[in-house]
Amino acid sequence: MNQGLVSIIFIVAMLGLMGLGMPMAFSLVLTGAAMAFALDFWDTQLLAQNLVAGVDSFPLLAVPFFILAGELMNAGGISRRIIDMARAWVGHIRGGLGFVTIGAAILMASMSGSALADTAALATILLPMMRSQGYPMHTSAGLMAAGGIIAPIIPPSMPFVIYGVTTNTSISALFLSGIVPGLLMGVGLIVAWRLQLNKFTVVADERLSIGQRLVATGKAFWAMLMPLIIIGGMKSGVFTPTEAAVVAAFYALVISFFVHRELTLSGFHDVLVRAAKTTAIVMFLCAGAQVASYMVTLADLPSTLAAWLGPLIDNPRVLMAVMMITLVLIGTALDLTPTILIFAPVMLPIAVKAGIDPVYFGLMFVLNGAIGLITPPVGTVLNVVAGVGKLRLDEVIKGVNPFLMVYLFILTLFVIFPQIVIAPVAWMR
Amino acid sequence: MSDSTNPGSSGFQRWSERAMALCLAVMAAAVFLNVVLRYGFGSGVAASEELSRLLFVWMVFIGATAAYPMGQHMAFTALLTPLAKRPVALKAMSRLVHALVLLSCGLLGWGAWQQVVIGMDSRSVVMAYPTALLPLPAFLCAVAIGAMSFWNLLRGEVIDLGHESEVE
Amino acid sequence: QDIKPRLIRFGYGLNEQSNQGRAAKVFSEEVEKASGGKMKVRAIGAAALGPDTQMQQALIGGAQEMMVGSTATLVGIVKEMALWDTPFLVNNVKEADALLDGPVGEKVKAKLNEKGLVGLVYWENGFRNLTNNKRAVTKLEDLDGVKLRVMQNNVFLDSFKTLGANAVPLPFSELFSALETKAVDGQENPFNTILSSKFYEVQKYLTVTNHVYSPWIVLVSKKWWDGLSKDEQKVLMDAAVKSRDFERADTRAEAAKALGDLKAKGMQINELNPTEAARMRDKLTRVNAGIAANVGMDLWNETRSELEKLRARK
Ligand code: NA
Ligand code: NA
Repeated sequence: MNQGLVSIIFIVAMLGLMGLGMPMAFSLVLTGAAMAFALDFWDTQLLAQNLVAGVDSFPLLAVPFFILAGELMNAGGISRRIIDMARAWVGHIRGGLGFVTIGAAILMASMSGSALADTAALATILLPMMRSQGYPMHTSAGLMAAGGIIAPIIPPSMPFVIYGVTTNTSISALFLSGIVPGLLMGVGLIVAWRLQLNKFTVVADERLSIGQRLVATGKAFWAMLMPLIIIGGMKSGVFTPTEAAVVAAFYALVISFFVHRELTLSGFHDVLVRAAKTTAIVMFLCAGAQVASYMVTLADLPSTLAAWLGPLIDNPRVLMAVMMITLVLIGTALDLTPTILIFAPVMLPIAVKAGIDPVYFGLMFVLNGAIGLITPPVGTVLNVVAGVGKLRLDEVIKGVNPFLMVYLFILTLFVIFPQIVIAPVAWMR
Repeated sequence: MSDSTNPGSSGFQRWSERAMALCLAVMAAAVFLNVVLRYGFGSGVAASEELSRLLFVWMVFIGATAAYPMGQHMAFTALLTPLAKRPVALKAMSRLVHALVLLSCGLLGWGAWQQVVIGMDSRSVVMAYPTALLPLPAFLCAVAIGAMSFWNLLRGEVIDLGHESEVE
Repeated sequence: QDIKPRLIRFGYGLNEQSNQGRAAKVFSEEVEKASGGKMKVRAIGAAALGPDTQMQQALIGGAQEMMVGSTATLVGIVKEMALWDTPFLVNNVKEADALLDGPVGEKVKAKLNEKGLVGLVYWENGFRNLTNNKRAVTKLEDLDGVKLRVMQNNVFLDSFKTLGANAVPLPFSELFSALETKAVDGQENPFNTILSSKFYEVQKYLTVTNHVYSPWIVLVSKKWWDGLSKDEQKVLMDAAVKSRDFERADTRAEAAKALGDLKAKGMQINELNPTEAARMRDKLTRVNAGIAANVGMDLWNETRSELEKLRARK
């Protein structure tokens, strides 16, 4: 069996089948089947077994639970209260609703793990307000999209769970690694928003008294406890990341039902159905990817690729730069989850060979993939904002560009100075 | 909710939604129970993990089956967009895709069926459920999606280009 | 000699550098040598072929030829395998070897045949020992209130509950972080695992309890085995026996070294004295009765009398 040949079969079959427009899960199954043939490992039972094995994993249960928590936050009024609170504090300053968006995006990111749920909530509530106050729609929409992708970086995070399971990296460590970069993304957005402000003529909110602000904060009190429970519970050992997800969902359920009283039983049923459907689509892809990645492991593709990369292995920073550029290009066309499932198991062993810290690499990988959610032509988060705001996709793309530049700058910064990511993790652990 | 073209599928959609919601609720309850038992009482139920994993597998395959006729599975259709104005070529490409999906379902279904047969004779470690319950949903899902893609292949159903994945 | 060219895919769970990996390599070399290079073993570690349960089903279905794995994960297929989960069944490795390689071990192995598997030999995973962060366990009462992670398996759960610990089931994948964050106080595993999983970083006390002897078992797909010639089967059996002898010696040397390393890493180590071990064993009568009922009274009684014979001999 020739490893080079198997590598070529992997790349050609996968790209060819996906390019046809076939559902990715099935493209990956057929890719796995083709490799099984080449590896002399042919048996349909192995295909079926691995399809199931891709889902049959306890840590992956965090995915439906975090999605459920996010859906409950939106349905039970938690997201709205957080936005109200942010508005009470900074709504009155010039360009205030932009800062409200950024603040709410960070707060919601510390409770939910999915970029799409957060973006949808932000855009649904804030875009109409910004429209009525005369903000330019394309820039506002771009800000929503850019703010939404902080969700998978600040813990909890669904993509970190999938990355951790796929590559066998500690999910708790990945979660901790996201805190500082996530906050830096927020800072970057503030700067980028501030720089564009002068071009706007907008109405600001009325300045509220401290009393009114405290009332809004009080209403968001229960919501604000959620990140403390998740991070605090995980750090103090009350529960593991998977359990943290289920605790978050239960907490959101209790708040929605008994404190905010905004969720009905039938509403709860709808939330369960939505979360289950979203999960099924993501996880079916995990299932298909497991069929291909089983064969990738057997063929030891990372070694072949590492051999092809040759001298780069001795130069971790250049290697990192090359891989990041590759990922940005992949991200233009591919969603975050398939990027993780397909490329992380191939790239991580190469990075480890070059001596790159696996947690740092995980953060960079997911951050890069998250940025891919707002790069054209295929940018799922862009679609959500365009859909919710009834805008044309090219308007959103135009508006997101400045923020995209900031994110790419941050990414470059992390490649040059990995310590910005690594040091805080070491300190927090 | 259901805009499916397959007759009789709205009944399945409704049933599948109930089943998925139930799976998710029980999974969450089982895992939560163990957190409470461990933290509050220093004990736990051994079956919790096994039960929630089994339900998770069922939920995913039921959901994947229900999502197929709605065209909700993640697909990369950008390269097909230029074909939008050339119906004959698009139809041919669509037929190819349906045939390939049918092929994967055939392989998966056959493999899963063999595992179901084997699994009748062994039991899970904790709950002692027949191991066949794990590959069974994969088998049913492969059969159902295979049948739908076969139907689409016969009719030359054009694949949906406007669709973008809806989850992340 | 009737030997055809064969490719044997041999899966195992640990990595290549582990005792499992070394023994798999010995097996593979022995097979190649004895078959004149015709039979080739491709040993694939690190669970790349899936966890034990997945490989078992692949073997039964004939999609994979061989594997080595834990007997505990086979209980769902052959209930008699639960015999090896019995706490304090054997007192030392000598008894373990005699029991596993003797008529009782053969009888349990033979049960695999009707389920599509063939068991060749038992390897050693090792005696399981207890670590925790609360106190050195010197007597039965020291287990009281220790929040102890056990495998998701009712025998282990019941056993440690009966002994007074707060036994909580948790997947191995979550164990390190649970110990690190003090979600649980302790766990139990062989020395080699305690060392390789770096539990010494998050655990203070190690008590040499030797409470369960865990074997591994080398399995062959029966579907595939039945198609082999007598000569080919003999090549595999002989190589398996050689790999077993190597593996046990290697594992024992490694365990002794691991214990030393754990001490050097700063773990406080004590040995449970025989009187206390006997008290624990007595406390577990009810759990043992359950195991006996599960594996069948005949097998249970045969095991007891076999052990009595062994103990009388010395
Ligand atoms: Na988050
Ligand atoms: Na993109």
